[in-house]
Amino acid sequence: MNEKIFEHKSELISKVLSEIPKELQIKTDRKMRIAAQLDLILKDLDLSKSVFASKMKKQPSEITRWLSGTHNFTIDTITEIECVLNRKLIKVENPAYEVVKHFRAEMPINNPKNRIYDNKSILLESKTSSITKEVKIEHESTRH
Amino acid sequence: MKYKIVRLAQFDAHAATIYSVIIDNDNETLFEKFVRINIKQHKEEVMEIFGRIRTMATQTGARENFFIQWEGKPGDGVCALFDEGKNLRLYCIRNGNLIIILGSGAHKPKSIRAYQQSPQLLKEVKLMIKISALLTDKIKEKEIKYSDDGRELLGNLELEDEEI
Repeated sequence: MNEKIFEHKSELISKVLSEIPKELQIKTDRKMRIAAQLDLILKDLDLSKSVFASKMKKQPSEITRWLSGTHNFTIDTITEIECVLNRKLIKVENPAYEVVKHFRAEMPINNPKNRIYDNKSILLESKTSSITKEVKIEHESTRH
Repeated sequence: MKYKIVRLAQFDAHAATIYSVIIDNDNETLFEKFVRINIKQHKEEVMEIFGRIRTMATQTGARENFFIQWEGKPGDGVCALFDEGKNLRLYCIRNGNLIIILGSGAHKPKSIRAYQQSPQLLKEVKLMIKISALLTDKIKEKEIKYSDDGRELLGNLELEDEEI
């Protein structure tokens, strides 16, 4: 077999690719990956678009749009899909757990200028608060 | 007419291989023509389609659900890519999830329902149907084959049609 590989480099394509805003590309990546994941789950569950549409109480055309990779899903829609399919569509990381061991109970302070913080943004004292009471709290999960 | 299938180097990645077509001794591919013609009036849409092609090339592959299917004849793989607002149509030949051959396309007015109502869109679809038929013949004749991993077209990628 006469094998010829024609590779084409285009200045125009390079130029347009370099002009795509990073944010737009990441949005596109995420929309298409979510759509691909949904498609994989439907195939894995052997669910047709019409059956899935009926379970979601949507028109099949809406499901086609979801699967096209152009749809901007809301958290609510993703959650509804996950509940109906009993599968995870996206992974949401838990935020870093913040442990606050000590704090002072303060009177309500409305003016931020009257608040004094340490370098970890923990409220230490209020200039306007005459009543301060130190309270020690140790979270259950920190006791070992 | 001669149709040379060329791999677009800028989209070179592991998830899908992106090709386009050069007609006769033209300097640019059909895809570049599509970009050049539409970039001024529809810059955002063109960029969005570019972004989608890059995502398919690098991450997801050319999954069927990303395209409007059955734009050509049954089984010929002719389909369309589009932007979020569905203003632009870019016609392609999709060979499984691993190979896309980009053709050209045009703006689809909201006033029409089907591409057959737009002479420009109809012309672009017919061209892709023709190229797909020529490619299929070459594959049947074993002049073109797929690489073992299915990501490349191997063989003589110059198609010829004397009728047009």
